[in-house]
Order: sequence, then C-alpha cells, then structure tokens
Amino acid sequence: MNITQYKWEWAELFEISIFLVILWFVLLFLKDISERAPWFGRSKDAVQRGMDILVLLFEPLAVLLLLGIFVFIDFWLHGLIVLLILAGGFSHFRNYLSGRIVRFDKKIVVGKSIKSDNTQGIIDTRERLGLRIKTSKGIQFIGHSSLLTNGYMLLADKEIGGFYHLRITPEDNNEIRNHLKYLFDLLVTTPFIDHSFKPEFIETDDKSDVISMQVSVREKTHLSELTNLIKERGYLCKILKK
Amino acid sequence: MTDTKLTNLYLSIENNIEQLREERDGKDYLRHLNEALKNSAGQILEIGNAAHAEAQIFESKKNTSLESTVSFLLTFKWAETAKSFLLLWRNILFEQEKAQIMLRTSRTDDESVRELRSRSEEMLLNALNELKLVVEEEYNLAQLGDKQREKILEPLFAQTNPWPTYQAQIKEIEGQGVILQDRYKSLFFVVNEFDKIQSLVRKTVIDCQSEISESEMSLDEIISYVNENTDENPGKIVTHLEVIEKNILTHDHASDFTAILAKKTQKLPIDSKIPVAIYGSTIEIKDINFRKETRQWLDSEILPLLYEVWEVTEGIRTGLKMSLLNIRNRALLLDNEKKEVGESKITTEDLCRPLQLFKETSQDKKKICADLYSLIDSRLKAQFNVALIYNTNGEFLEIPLQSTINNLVFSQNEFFARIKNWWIKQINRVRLLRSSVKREDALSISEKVVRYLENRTPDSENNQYSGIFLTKGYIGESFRVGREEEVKRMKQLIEHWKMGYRGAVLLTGQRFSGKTLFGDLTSNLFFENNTIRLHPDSEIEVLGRRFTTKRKLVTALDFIKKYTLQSQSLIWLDNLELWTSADTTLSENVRTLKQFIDDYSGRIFIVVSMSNALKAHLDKTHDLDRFFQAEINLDRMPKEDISRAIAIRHGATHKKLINAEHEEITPQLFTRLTDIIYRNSEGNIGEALSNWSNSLEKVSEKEVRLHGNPNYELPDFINSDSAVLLSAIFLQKRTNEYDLVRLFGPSFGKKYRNILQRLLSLGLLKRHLDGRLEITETAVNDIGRLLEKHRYLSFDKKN
Repeated sequence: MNITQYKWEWAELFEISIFLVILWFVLLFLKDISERAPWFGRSKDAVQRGMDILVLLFEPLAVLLLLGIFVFIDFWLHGLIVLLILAGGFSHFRNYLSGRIVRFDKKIVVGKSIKSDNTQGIIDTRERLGLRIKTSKGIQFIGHSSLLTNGYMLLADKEIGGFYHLRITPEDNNEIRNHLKYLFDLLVTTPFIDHSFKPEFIETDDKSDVISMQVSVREKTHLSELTNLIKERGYLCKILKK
Repeated sequence: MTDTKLTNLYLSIENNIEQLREERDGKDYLRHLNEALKNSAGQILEIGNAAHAEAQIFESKKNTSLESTVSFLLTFKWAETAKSFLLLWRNILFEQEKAQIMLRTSRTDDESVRELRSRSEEMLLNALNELKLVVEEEYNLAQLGDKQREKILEPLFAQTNPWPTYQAQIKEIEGQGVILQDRYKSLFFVVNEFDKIQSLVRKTVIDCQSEISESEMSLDEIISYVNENTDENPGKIVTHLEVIEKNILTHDHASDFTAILAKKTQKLPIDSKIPVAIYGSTIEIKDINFRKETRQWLDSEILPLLYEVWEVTEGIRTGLKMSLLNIRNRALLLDNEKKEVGESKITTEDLCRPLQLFKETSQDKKKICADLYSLIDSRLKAQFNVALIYNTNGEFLEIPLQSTINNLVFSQNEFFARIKNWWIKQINRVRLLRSSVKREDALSISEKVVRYLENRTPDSENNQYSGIFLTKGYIGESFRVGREEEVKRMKQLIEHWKMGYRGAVLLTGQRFSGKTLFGDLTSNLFFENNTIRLHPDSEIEVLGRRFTTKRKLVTALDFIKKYTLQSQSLIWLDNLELWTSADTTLSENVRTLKQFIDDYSGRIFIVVSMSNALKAHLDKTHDLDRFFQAEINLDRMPKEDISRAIAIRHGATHKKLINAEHEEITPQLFTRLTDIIYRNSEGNIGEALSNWSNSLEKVSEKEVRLHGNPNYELPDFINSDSAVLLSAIFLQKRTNEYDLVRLFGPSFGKKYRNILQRLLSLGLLKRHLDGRLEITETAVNDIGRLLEKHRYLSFDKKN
C-alpha cells in the first residue's frame, strides 16, 4: 500500500487530542501522587524518576503523534504545510527538542550560576526554547541547542563545590613532625572533603615544609571549614586557585 | 336438605364471627378469617351446586314445586348475595391484613385495630342477616301456592342459570383468600427485614457516635495526664501516649456496613405482587421489586449521609492520632532538652495546645454527626416503611427528584446498578487516596522521622519475645543458619594460608549483616581456643600474658607478634572503625595494620571487619584491597536462610503466632510473611530479624500476632550540613563530642553542635550512658542509603 493513501480523519485527530489531553492530566496526577504518597517505600526514587521521564517526553511525543495524524489527513497538502512550518521554524524546533534533553539535568534551575561559551550569569527564567541569563550587561537568551553544542558549566557557589588548590605551611617550623603524613592522616577522616576524589599532596619544598594540596569539596562553605580546621592544627592555609 | 345446609351455613358463619370476637392474637385472627372464608365459600359452593343440579332437573320438567322454586331462588338470587357476602369477607380479610402490617410498622395502634375488627364483625353480621333474608319474600310467596310459584319461576325458566358464573366467581374469591394470605406472609417477612436494615443503619451511626465520645473521653484523660507529668517526668508522657495511640483502633465502618447490608438486601424478594387496595370487587396489585427499590432508596437517601458520618468519625480519629503524635514529639523534645540542658522552653500549655485545638474542632464534628443521625432517623421513620406500600397516591420508597435524576440512567436494570455502585466505589477510593495523600503532606519531615522511628520500636509489652528472638552473637550451632558458601570460602582461605599463602581476610557489610557473628563463627570453627579478639580499650591474653589495648594498634600488634611465634593463631579484629583516638588517627592504625599484614600474615591469620562505607573510603586513601587475600561481603543472605533463621528463633520463644481470628497461621502464610521481611530488609539478616520482631505484638503469654502497621520509610531529611555530620559518625560507628570537635575543628562549635542536638532530639542519634554517640540502630542502614543517594559515602558493596 502506498503511504500517501493511508488516511486519517479530522474526527480521529480530535478524539486522539482529547485522549492525549486526558492522559496528560492523569500523568500529572500520578507524578504528584508519586512525590507525595508514602506507599512506594524504597522504590519511590525509581518511581519518581520514571514519572519525570514520562512527563518530560510526553509532550514532544504527543506533538509528534498529532502532527503525524494531521499529515495523514491529507498527505500532500498537510505534509507540505508541516514541512514549511518546520523549515521556517527549524531552529526553534531544535531548541525545543534540545530543551527536553537539558531538562534531564535537575541542577539547571532558576538562581544557579551558569557559564556557556562567553556568557556567564545567573539563570533568570527557564523557557521552552532556552534560558534567560541575567548577566552584568543585561538579560541574555541562550537557546537550548547552543547550550548543548557549546557546553555549559554550573559555577561553584554555596551549593556547588569544586576542586581547590591549597598551599599549606606549618606555623612553627621548629616542630618536628612529618607534616605530609600528619596532614594526610588528618584529611583521611575529615568530613569536609569530597572523598569521591582522592586528595593529592605535593611537598613542594623539602626545606620549608610547604605542602601543596588539591582537594575537592561539595560546597564552597566546606572549603572555609576545611581551611579553619587546618589552621587550628597549626598550619597556614592559602587557597591558591580553583 | 337444602334448608339444613343453609342453616348449617348460617350457624357456621355465626360461630366463626363469634370466634373472631374472642380472638386476641393478630396472626390467629387472620388465619381464622381466612379459614372461615374458605369454609364458607366451600359450603356456599356445595349449596349452590346442589341447588343448580336440582334446578336443571326441575327446569327440564318445568317443575313448579316448592323445591324447584327454592333451587331457582338459590341459584338466581341467593347466590349473588352469597357471592357479595364472600367478597365482603375477602375485603375484610385484606383490611385486617393491612391493619396488622400498619400496626407492626407503627402506623396505627391497637385501639384502631380493635375498632376495625369490631366494625368488621358487625358488617359481617349485617351481611349475614341480609343473606338470610334475601329470598325470604319470594320464599313466603312460593309457599302460598302453585300460581305464585309459576309467577316466580316463569321468568327464571327463560333465563340461563347464572350459577356456573357465580360458582367460578366464588371459587376465585376462595383462591384470592389464599393469595392474600401468602402475600401477607411475604410482606410481613419484608417488614422484619426492613427492621433489621433500620437497626443496622442506626447501629453504625451509634457506633460512630460512641467512637467520637471515646475520643473525647481520651482527650480529657490525656490533657490531665499531661498536666500532671510535664514538669516531673515528660518521658512518661511519651510512653503513656504510645499506649493510648495503640488502643485507637482503625475500624472500617463503610466496608463492614456495605457487606452486611448487601447480605440483608439480598434476602428481599425481587418479584412481589402485593395487594394494596380494593375497589369494589377489584383488588389493586402492585408489582414491587423490594430488593432493587430498597437498594436504590438507601443509596440515594441514606448512604450519602452515612458516608459523611463515617468521614467525620475517621476525621476525628485521625485528628486525635495526629494530635497525639504532635504532643509526643513535643514531649520527646522536652524530655531531651531537660536531660541535656536541665530546662526547656516548652510549657505545659504548648504541650496541650494541639489537643485543645482538636477538642474544639471535634465538638463541631460531633454536632454534625448528631444532626446527620437525626436526619437519617427521620428519613427512616418517615419513608423506610413497608406500610407506605398501601399509599396508592405515591410510589413506594419514593426518591426525591434530584436523586431520581441522578439515578435515572442507572435505575433501568441491575447491570447499570452494578456499574453505578462500582463507580461510587472508585470515587470513594480516589477520595480516600486523596485524603491519605493530604494527610501525608500535612506531616512535617520531623513528624515523618518520628513516625518512622516509632514504627521500628518493638512493642514494649512484647519484650520477652524480642529479648529471645533478637539475641545477638554466636549462641550455638542450633541457631546457626546459612553462610555455608562463606564458611566454605573461609575454610579454603585458611587451608591456603596453612600452605604458606597470605592469611588476611576482610569481612565487609552493612550494619547488622552479621560480620561479628561470622567472625566469631570462623574463630569457633577453625581457631577454637586459638583466637585473639582485638577490641579497643579491652584486655587480651596471649600465652598467659595480659595486655590492655588502648586505641593504638601498633602496641597491641607488637605484643601479639612477640608472643605468638610458635602458634598459628587468629587475630580477629572486629570493627576497625573503632580504632581511633585523639592520639592515634584511624589512618595511622590502618597503616600499621597494612604493615603487620605484609610482615606477619604468613604465620598469623588475620580477619578484620568493617563497614562497606569505610572499606570504600579506605580503598581510595590507603589502597586497602591490595593488602587482603580476600574480601567476604555479608550484605545479603539467601531468602531461604533468612526464613529459616526467623523460624528457628521464633520457635525458641515458644510462642504461637496467630492471626486476627486467633488461629495459628499456616506454614504457607509464614513463608509469605518471611518473604516480605526478606524483601524489605534486602537480605540483611540483622534487619530482617529486627523487622520481624518489631512487627509483632503480644496477645497473651503464649501468643503473638502481627500488628499490621504500615512499614513507613525514612523521609529524605538530608541536607549538606547534616550529611557531613552523619557521614562522619557513620564512618566512625561510635564517637563522642570530644572526637567530633577534633574532627571538625572550629566549625563544630559554630555550626555542627546545633545540628547534632537537632539530630539527637529527633531520635536519629543516640547518646549512650558513657557519652558515646552513635546513629540509632533502627535507622542506621536507611540513613546509610540516604547518604549514598546524596553521594556522601558508599553504603552498598556494589558501589
């Protein structure tokens, strides 16, 4: 059978639209329940993730389905219309689809600091086609597709840590102590470090006991707590750079 | 002959009427009426048949004798009056039956019924006299002579004798009497069933009202108890409230009611033809489907009100539980604050405030309930009455217009009625769902945490059971279950060690996965009397020499290596995480251990246990994996082994596990229960045993049963600050504030001390009598999972 001969009716398009709208509300209801109800036990996280994925993907799939049915109502005419729309709004369509992917990253929320290409600022609003970033010069719009193409970085702030390079010097040079070992032992159990990444120690200068250290922290506040701990143990601690 | 029969007939009727006068009992009265109707009809038919037979003979011969005249008079005139007499009797029977129904349903009184009887008897007597005299004039004329008789008979000869018609009619009237009696019995049965349904409806409302009253009484008792104990011993309040909360039983009124109602309405007839009125000789019959109409009426007029009553009752019960939970939290906080600081800002008024507020709202709800009961009662009295069947102006169990519109589509047949009921059930389910979600939403994180911890606290009255069931440690071969694979593996490792290979094994696992037990088992099976158990701050003995370990591994290991030159001993180092102090860090001890393993694991077999989290941590910092010959992870035990462990320990308690019907549970159900426990504990043997013990409550000295409380999850309360503190404590297993100050530095005093206090007051951390802090045992593994979820540590081996 020739694909162009396959036919749908307007009534069917209408019925399926109604069905998809109802299904959308049911999905939202189920998502709400999965977040609030106490019944899922340890599976709650998995259920919520599943619901998030379903809700995120529902819209584009529904639009795709309806477009497909629309085309097959009158293959040549409607197909042409859809093609023209796609051609004219291709970049918006791409931004929309990229946006679905970007939304999987839960950390991109309003208020977070972000850097993409040459733009750096705080996320002001999240829209269907991109983000509005509040920069020092004003509000800039970045499309989702360029976020994915150019990449993006969520900047370190109160809630995001990062890698830090510390220079540590003993306050009292006369104290006989293997400072490297001492600091290593201290940091093995210190709670401020993100132990997913092993701290790296470099004894830069044998004579002056200066130690360079690279550590990862989960939040910026932990960094100051770490430096205070090191200082309390009789060391000068300087944050060199990130 | 005919004279005799007539006389007998009249005498019989008179006797019957006389007997009726003396009859007191309604049932007997009706029975008598019916029998009399039957007898009279029988006698009249006999007289009529005889007269008809004679009349036919006389007619053929054109006989104008007196006997012929009598026959014709009987069949032409007397029979009609006799028929009318029987109709009257039948009608009186109907009216008396109706009166009995109305008396039974309190629509009339004894006085009126007596009056009716008296009038009926009078009417019967009058009708009897009429019957006696109906042909007297003609009879007297007939006695005068032939000519008179000819005059009477000639017109009658020309007509068809109507007796066959009268005969049929009289037989029908006789049959109607029987039908009336049957229908009456059927209707009386319905009256009884209606009474039962009314009682059921009233009972459920009264039960709800009692529940509300009980809640009110509990309130007053609780308020006075709280007032008495707030200052002296707030801890007592917590225990007391626990007991009260346990006694607040959940009662599913709706399910019970609908189940019983369904059974009762099922008994009602579906196809009844009930005589409801008499118009002359015609009886009006109503076709009634009692079952369907009763259900419809109850569904539209009573059930919506009952649902409200049940909701109000449940709301009060839930509200009371919530208030108790609230007060318990505050009492816990108060108790902890008093213990920690000596005083608290929480006053008695603060403690009682939730209850006072609840008391105010429950008064309103009680009034609503009382109003609903009045409405239900008035509807039942006014409308739910079988006697209304005689109301020919309206429908029986009439439903108001709005309800009728609602019911219109679905009242057509049984199928739609079922669909409608199913739909209502689903709507109610969704309502219940929404209200349970709303209730859950209303709870704060702290309340959910407390609820979780309370759920995992064993029943205090079941201490005897849990004491035996949860006995820790190696308590003999009869209690040993499973771990065959691990024992086999350990055996092989020991054999390899004896052959000259490295003898260092790491036991890892979650809390309560059985690391200590397995280490003890290894010692008992393979190194009996040749094991050195290394614990911090304890005494060890090697070849008669004693040594007190501090928390510095190097000194302990030095001592051991000096005095174990000749023996192939086992060093069993349980909980490596405890080997830390202000002077000696864990890292230093780990380095010592690594060195010792490298140097001496050829002649000393070393078994070390630690948590998965610490192992993952030390792997990164100290590359620990390389130093051990093998790692045996004990996170999961097979389902069958856990089931057997539960069965053995339960057996040791010598208590019977019963169900709600006080019967011992079947082996299949036992297996199903242990399967559920296995799934919830994810194969962790310690958690499985703990969950099992916590899910039981004491019934009697010899019996326990499942309390059926839901298994609440620990809410995700973790934020970055509490995660840092908890992961530090988790890794150390046990610590104290001094160690924490050293670990955290200046920020402990500024920030983490407050977090510590909050976690203590929530019950997630516990402070022992010696000042040591640890994460509450019942929550430690779930907290580990949460910390892993937030990527603060590795809780599970697979990660």
